[in-house]
Amino acid sequence: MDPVHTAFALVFDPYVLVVILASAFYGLFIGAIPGLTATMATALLVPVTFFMPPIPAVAAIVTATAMAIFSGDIPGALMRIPGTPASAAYADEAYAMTKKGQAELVLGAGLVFSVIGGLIGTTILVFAAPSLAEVALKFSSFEYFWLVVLGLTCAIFIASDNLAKGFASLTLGLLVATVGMENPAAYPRYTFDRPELAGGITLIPMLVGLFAVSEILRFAVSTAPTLKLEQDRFGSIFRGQWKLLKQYPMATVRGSLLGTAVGALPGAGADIAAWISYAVSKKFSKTPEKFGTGHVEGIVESGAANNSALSGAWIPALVFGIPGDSITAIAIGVLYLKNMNPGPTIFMENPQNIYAVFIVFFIAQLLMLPLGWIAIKTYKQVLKVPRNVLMPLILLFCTVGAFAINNSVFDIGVMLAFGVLGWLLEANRFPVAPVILGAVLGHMLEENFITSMIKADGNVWSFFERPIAGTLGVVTLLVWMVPIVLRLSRKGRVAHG
Amino acid sequence: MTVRVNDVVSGVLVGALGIAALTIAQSFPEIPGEPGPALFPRLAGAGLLVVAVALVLGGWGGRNAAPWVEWPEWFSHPRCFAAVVVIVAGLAITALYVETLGFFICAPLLVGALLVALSVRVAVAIPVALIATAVVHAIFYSGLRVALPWGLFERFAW
Repeated sequence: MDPVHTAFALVFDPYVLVVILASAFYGLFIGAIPGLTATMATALLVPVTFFMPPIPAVAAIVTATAMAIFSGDIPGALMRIPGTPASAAYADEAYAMTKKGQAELVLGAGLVFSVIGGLIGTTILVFAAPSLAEVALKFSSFEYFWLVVLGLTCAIFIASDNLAKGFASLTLGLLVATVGMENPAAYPRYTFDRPELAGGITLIPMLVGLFAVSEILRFAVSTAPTLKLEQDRFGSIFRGQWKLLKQYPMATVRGSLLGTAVGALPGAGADIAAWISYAVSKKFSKTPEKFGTGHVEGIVESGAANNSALSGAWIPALVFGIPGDSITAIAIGVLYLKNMNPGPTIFMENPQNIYAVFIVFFIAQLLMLPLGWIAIKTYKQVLKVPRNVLMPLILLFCTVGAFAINNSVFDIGVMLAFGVLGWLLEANRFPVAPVILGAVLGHMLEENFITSMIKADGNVWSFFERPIAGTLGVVTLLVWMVPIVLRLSRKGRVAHG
Repeated sequence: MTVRVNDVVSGVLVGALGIAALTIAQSFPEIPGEPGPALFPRLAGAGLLVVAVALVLGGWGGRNAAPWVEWPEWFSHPRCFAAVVVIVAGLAITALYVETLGFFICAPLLVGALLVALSVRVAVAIPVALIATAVVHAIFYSGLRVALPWGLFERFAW
């Protein structure tokens, strides 16, 4: 059977379809509850996916995250509280529309343009990833070294407003990656004679701590008022959406393309895609003065952008093993656990698995239309779930999940330590995403550097001798120069003026 | 919100971590002719030191604008304080003692204590904690075959 048919058979298996449907409802629920994010949804899924075959495991993550990013729009529009950070960019705007009596229009736009953005992003993923993989097959350790450095650079430059703090987070992540014996010399580093640390700090408990336990801590100390809906009964949410699509075709396409691109850059995910897209939309709008007063244009564009960013993030993740955002950082961990190691060879050796992932992406987007409609209609009931009962249950789930990976109580300690760390970092405005990227990519960075140095006999110039490696190297160095040049030019301007 | 510190303070903490990383890395062996296992830890340590200096210098300018350490509001709020203590201490106790005490003691205590700390009525908290423990045990132990420790209940193990 050819790989495409095999892929369809893999996905259209009753077990896989049930997993997709269940994770869809799970994702919609997590995204719709303020304080629970799409990344947290993924981190909580991992212990369960751990026990599944590869395709349903990946399907669960893909579906749950796509749904969560959409459903984060609902509390934004109805309570001015974004359900996930990806909806924060336009929560004020959406709420203003609800206030004007346009709740149906804005909720429908959130749904329909999420689906369109997701479909466009997925189409780009389907075409870009295999062709990139063909190029990547020729890559040696030199190219991979620069790719990782460029990826980590992006993570600091895009994901944080403060370069020093972004760099601190990244270095912390790289330091975490050095723990254990998994280095080219197999020498135990920072293990403090604990056998549990010989294999390094386990990624999953660390992620569950950073993204779930930290949220529970944040909830525990929040003195936020109880959640109150602006409106809880809705008419048809699909009325007027066709007109919006005809009115803003450029914005839809621009948002989807920009979202995919931002998603593909390491360190920047759906939330940053939405912020950038919203700003771009305002800049190119014919009526920028309407932005902020309850105008749908920015929501169309950034709503499409945050869902397309999810697909975009999978491009570098599948092709190079370099995650495009925090969600794919977790997903890569799952792929390794499932012996579906990302990298260009997976496209040649196991194309049916990759095609199956693509099919799941399309199913998830299409499923979003009916299920999203149900989520909006039943939102009043969803909100009745008391968060102070939910959080302790999530904590128990986290604890068992962290334990389950290695059957180790040490990992519960790891989860706790990183939970507190994530909480402190966020409160002090240190970005968390670079920690994850550093921890995930540290090994790859070191391994490719050492291999290259041995190949080159210690000659640093060989890092620039191959055409693609040289180009990547020069681009990376240029990106590093940007803040220095900006700083000097600012100083020059101050001196002259 | 949690404890907020001035950038000078976070810089000092980051610097201390950098120095610790570098000190430990001193004992890592060198491999003649190629970069050894000490290189990356040293780079990471040095990187942390550089950032520490940047944070301290950056924070020094605004040291009067922000206090050294800003204790959050919830510190004087017994309910919030209790919730944080329950989460941190509860997880620490679970990590340390779940193998001796068993999942059936640690899990309901962790969930129940946090429920109560988050202002759920005791009459609700107890059944919720017990049911949650049973459900999670059924899913992970019976369903997914995770070896959740029995501890004191070892002889009842199935």
